[in-house]
Amino acid sequence: MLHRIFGGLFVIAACGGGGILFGRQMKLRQENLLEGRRAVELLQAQIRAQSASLPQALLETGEQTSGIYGELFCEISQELLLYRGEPVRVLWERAARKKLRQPFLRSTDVEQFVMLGEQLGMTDRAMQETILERYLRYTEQELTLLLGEIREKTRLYRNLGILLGIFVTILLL
Amino acid sequence: MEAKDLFLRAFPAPLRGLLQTAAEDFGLLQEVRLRVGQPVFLTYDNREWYLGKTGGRELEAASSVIMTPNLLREMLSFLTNYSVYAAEEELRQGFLSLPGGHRAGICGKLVMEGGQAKTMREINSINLRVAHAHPGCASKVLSRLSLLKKSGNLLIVSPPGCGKTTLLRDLIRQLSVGGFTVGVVDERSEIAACYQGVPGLDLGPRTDVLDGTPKALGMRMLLRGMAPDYIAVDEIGAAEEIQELFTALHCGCHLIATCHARNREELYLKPELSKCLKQRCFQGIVYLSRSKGAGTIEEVEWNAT
Repeated sequence: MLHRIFGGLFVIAACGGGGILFGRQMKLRQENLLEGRRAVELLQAQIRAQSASLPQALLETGEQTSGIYGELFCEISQELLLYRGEPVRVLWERAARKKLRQPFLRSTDVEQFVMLGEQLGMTDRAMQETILERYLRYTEQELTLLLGEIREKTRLYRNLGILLGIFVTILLL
Repeated sequence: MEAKDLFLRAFPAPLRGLLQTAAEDFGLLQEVRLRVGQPVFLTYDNREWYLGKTGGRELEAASSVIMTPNLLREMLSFLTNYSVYAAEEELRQGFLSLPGGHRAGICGKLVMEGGQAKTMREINSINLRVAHAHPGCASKVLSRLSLLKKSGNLLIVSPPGCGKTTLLRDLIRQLSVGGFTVGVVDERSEIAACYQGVPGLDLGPRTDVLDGTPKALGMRMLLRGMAPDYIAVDEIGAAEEIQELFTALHCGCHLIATCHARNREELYLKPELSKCLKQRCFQGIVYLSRSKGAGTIEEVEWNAT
């Protein structure tokens, strides 16, 4: 009997933990989008205020940014400076798809970031501003939506997990 | 990095490989012309060729690579170090200076704002000119110039692509090596080919380079700050440049300049410059052509009036 009780408690804890982890994915996505927004804002400042060349702007932004985006920008900058004759969009997409392969990111997050690289460095200053602004607007919208979702759904997923655990336990008992 | 590599990195990968084969002796490649929807032209060993689809030099347009709008856009990105936005000033003037002293002339749609050129969009053709250093090419001219001693102002005259800048560059180098202090006003970064502040071509040990500075302002700055024996400028002709030229001459400084013109008659048709010539400001005038290849000295006129 004691075994059954402990077993049931483990099932409930495991399902509850699963619910919490599911909710945590949203938190991770939020952190990633915030990181991306910060990196692109820094890049925008490099281009707008210092008129830095794209490889230079990416390198400096990468060095000032922690996490995935810092590594991503440094990698793209290094690739660009090898002058292999590949356009920015190709190098950008390749690096972005490799680095942003994260379970907590939605495919639209990755696609929006890839789209940013399609025009980067290819147009005049006004157009560059528009492209960067478009990405920043996307992250802003997603972050606003996420904030509400996190409040509502984190608790919901946790509770659903616990309920599922109780249900499974009842079935097993 | 070699001049050839610096030049080839302006091209997208598919064209780069073809050009490498077509211009096997890079020293003979003079320019590459690319126009949207048209074959790619090379000037190689003083002859015009098509760039072949398999990488050779072709005489038939049918076997040539055709330039697509996408390839041209990519090229512009490479030419501007992936930063078209940072090259607006140069695009407005219709040319880009490249590392290694090479230069790209650009044509497209000029965007105007308040009567002023703002930038260039919808680029439809690019002309890439290869910078070649020919050490010693100025020896003949220099030996005559040194005979003039105190009054050695020299004007180099030719149509575009005949080697004016190459001759000027070697004159600067030789004067500098010979013990003269030379100040260079390199408005288009063509003479010294400065890239990130460092001259890419040898101009000798006593040469000071004012890079990216308008000629008139540069001459004034050099006179005030650097006390040069010679001032060297490329493509002189505007009224304010001639004004500064007179100032420099009155300060005891010698001048070496270049100017676009086919011959003497055409040279004297330039209103501002003709004032200078009539006052015998230049004691030597060198006319170049391409009759026996770029840099052919057609005529040297001393003490011209």
